[in-house]
Amino acid sequence: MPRPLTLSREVDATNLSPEDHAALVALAKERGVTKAEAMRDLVSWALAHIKAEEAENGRES
Amino acid sequence: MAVKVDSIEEAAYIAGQAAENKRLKEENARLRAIISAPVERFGTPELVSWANRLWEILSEYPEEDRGSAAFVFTMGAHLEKFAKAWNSPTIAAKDARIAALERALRKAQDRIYYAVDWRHEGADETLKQVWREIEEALGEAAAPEEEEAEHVR
Repeated sequence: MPRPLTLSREVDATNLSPEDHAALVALAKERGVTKAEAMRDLVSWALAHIKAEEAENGRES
Repeated sequence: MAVKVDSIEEAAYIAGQAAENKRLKEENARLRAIISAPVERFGTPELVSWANRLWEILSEYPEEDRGSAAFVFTMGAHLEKFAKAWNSPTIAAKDARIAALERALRKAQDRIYYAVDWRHEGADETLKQVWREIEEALGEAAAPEEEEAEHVR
C-alpha cells in the first residue's frame, strides 16, 4: 500500500523505512540505475523542491 | 520546510524524471558546445549555417531512427558538403595562411620573451622589428584575394 511520507532537508537512506527502501530498490531497477543513484536523485529533487518553496515564501513575505 | 508526497514510489519516480531531464539538458548543452566550438573559432557564416543544419538533422531523427536509410543519406550528403568545402582550394589557401601566421606569431613570441627576459642591448629595436613582422604577417593574412587570383591564373 502506498504510504504518504514527508521528505525534509535531512532525508537520506538512514531515515527511510524498510518498505521505502524496498520500493526505492524496485524503482531503481526499473530505471536501470543503482539504489544509491536513485537515492541521490530523490534527495536532490527534494532539496530543489524545498529550496524553490522557500524562495517562493521569501518573495511572498 | 519539507515536501509531502503520497508515496516513495511517486517521489522517486518524479525525482528520476527530473534527474533524467537534467542529464538530457546537460548532454544537449555539451553537444551544442562541441558543435559550436569550431564556429566560434572560425566564425564564417557558411560554417555557422552548416553547423546549424547538422544540429537540425540530429534533432529531426531520434536516436532509434539513426540507422535508417533516410538519416544515413541525409547526414552523408551533409558531411560530404563539409568535406568538399574543407578540401576546396580556397579553404586550403586560407589554412596555409593561418599556419604561416601562427608560425610568424610563435617566432615573434619567442623573440619577445627573449628580449623581455634578458633586456639585452637593442631590446627596443628587436621589439619594434618583431612588431613590424607581425603587422606584415597580419597584412598578408588579411589580403588573400590578390594571391588567390594569381594562384588561379
